[in-house]
Amino acid sequence: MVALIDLKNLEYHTPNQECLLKGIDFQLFPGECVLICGKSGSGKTTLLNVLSGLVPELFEGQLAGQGQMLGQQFPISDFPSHAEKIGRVFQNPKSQFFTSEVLSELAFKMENLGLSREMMQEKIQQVATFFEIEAFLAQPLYQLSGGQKQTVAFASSLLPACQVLFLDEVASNLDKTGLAKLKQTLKHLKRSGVALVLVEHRLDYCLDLIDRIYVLENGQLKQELSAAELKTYSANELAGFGLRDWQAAVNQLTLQMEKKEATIQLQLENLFFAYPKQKEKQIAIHSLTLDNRQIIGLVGENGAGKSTLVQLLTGLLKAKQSRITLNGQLMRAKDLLAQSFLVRQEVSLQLFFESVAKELTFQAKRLACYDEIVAAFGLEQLLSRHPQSLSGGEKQRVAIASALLSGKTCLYFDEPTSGLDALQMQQVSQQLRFIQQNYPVLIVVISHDQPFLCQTCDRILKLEKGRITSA
Amino acid sequence: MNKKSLSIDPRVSLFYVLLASLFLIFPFQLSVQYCFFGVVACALLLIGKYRQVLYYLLIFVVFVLPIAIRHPILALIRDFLAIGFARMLPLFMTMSLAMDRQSTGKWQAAVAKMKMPSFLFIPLVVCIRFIPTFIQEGKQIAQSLKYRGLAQNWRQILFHPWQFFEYFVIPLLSSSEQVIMDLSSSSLIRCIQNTNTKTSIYPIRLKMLDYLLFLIGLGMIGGQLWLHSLI
Repeated sequence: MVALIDLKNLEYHTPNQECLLKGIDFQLFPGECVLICGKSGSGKTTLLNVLSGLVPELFEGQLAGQGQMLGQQFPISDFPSHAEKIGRVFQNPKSQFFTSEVLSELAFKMENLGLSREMMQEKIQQVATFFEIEAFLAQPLYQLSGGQKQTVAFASSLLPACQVLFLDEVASNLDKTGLAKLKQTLKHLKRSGVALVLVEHRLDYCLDLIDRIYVLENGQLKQELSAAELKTYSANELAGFGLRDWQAAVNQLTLQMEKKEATIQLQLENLFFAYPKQKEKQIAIHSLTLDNRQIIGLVGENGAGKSTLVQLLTGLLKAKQSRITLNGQLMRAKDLLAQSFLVRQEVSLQLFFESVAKELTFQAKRLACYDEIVAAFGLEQLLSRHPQSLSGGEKQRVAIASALLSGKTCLYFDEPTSGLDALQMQQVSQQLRFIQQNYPVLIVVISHDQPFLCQTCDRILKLEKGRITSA
Repeated sequence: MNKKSLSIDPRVSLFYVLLASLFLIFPFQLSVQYCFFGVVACALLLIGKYRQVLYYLLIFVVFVLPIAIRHPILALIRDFLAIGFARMLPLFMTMSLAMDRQSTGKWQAAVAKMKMPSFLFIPLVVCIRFIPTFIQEGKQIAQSLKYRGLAQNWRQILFHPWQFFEYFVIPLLSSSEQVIMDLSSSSLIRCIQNTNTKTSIYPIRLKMLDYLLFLIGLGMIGGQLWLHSLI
């Protein structure tokens, strides 16, 4: 069988002579599924950029190596023709959308290729029916939940059909249904001869599909494994490859009530909320008590209302009717806002000051614990840096530390492990444990990351269509 | 699906934005400006933007209308505000017209239909694409500022513009840098550079209302030139 991609001794140097990839041999055959893994910063996304032709089309630098990619000699000279044969889903679906609504996003590549409207409509209808996104077709993309956006991003990469599909952390925000659809689609694509290249930290949904695994370290190929070999590795060994323990995902979450007394108790009674323009999106909770004896995980299907519930709990949204008390004291939206802090998935939108030190100390009420918190989050060397100049993981540590130092009693985290490798996920888990054990703080985490939830949370709240179905 | 039935072709909206820009640059006759205000307000009403028309009407009555009333004492301040608003208001109104339910996809289709060269087409489409991103990220920043006890209001923006710049613009720019790279990558992979004739999922066709608005717009330019020749 002729390889779709066959590269030998691939090397990539940036314009300032930094070597990002070195000595990589890579092969990809039709209908094959290849996983590229490694710790954060090992060069996985850079390799995807080379394979998808974005180096040197968009990212400048020197490429060296021999071989071919989809019939063109490497390095390729005709990028548009290469692009016609490939599809790619990026890590952050939001920033890859070129249009503002679902329908036009699904049609974008087909429009550029000049397909007729009838053909586009037919293909979109098929994909929309399969992914159950017909109801969203006319909806603006920004109104979708994170998982729904990811589904649209994946669906749009399938239109029109391609020979090679590159997927970069495509499962990070998907719920169980979304993961099942993803797996089913990948299986179907594989059977129909499409080659799949995955960059992933999660194995739970794709282990059965993978044929070969490339492990990268510092831009070099450390190991090449088969799926059967990978299954024999322990959780620690997998973490060394940046991979999550695939078995953790199937373990049942167990409730681990801590013996300590609850010092923070948030009680909700008769909470009801509906968006004025989206009446079907409702939150209705009869009674719920949250306290700081456990770290609470908030789970649910994409679009179940998790983010809306957190906005109500933090006072950003005002419920039509509700009675919310914190330690017995009735709270209005304004009071909740004063007691709450939400650490977002996109932390760069919540860092405002010129240095990390100022970010941490601004209006801080736990200044007495400053040194301890700075040390616990490993921020000593970063205090004079501008927060926006930090890496994603460092920014997140600064945001969590500033939330803790602010002295607020209710801390909420929205998908804190999205896109993190196994080691980084463990670090976030340890940080949350550190906070829960040492400070009187209520912690609620929205996440789809099963291994992280297993490792971190003691109590799971399940939200379905705006209602708590399991607490 | 949208409940509203009427919509305006993006090309006509773009024509009106350009016309409003002319109002901003050149001193048009008051009667022409009032007429323009009326036409755009009617167009907004037709597409169901009742609340926005009410706001614009309020601004018009408070700031723009007094320009016709001659009063010697407060003339300076009044004229300053009136002229400023009279020139700016049409631009804001036409922007509302342009942004109404016009997905970036429809805009791209309309711009492509105008046979615009790609060196103009791609940057324009990227600009159109960025408007909703800026709005959404701005909202997220505003929410995050509330958690930090730094909620911004118009007074703070007016008296502490640098603080506003630091709080809003820097995170926005930082986030935009990543968005730009992802967006460029994604659009290249999805064949934006393709030189074939592009098609559109949206049918782009001028309707009666579009022709009417187009003719009225041209009529206003003609009216201004005629009035100018009389002076």
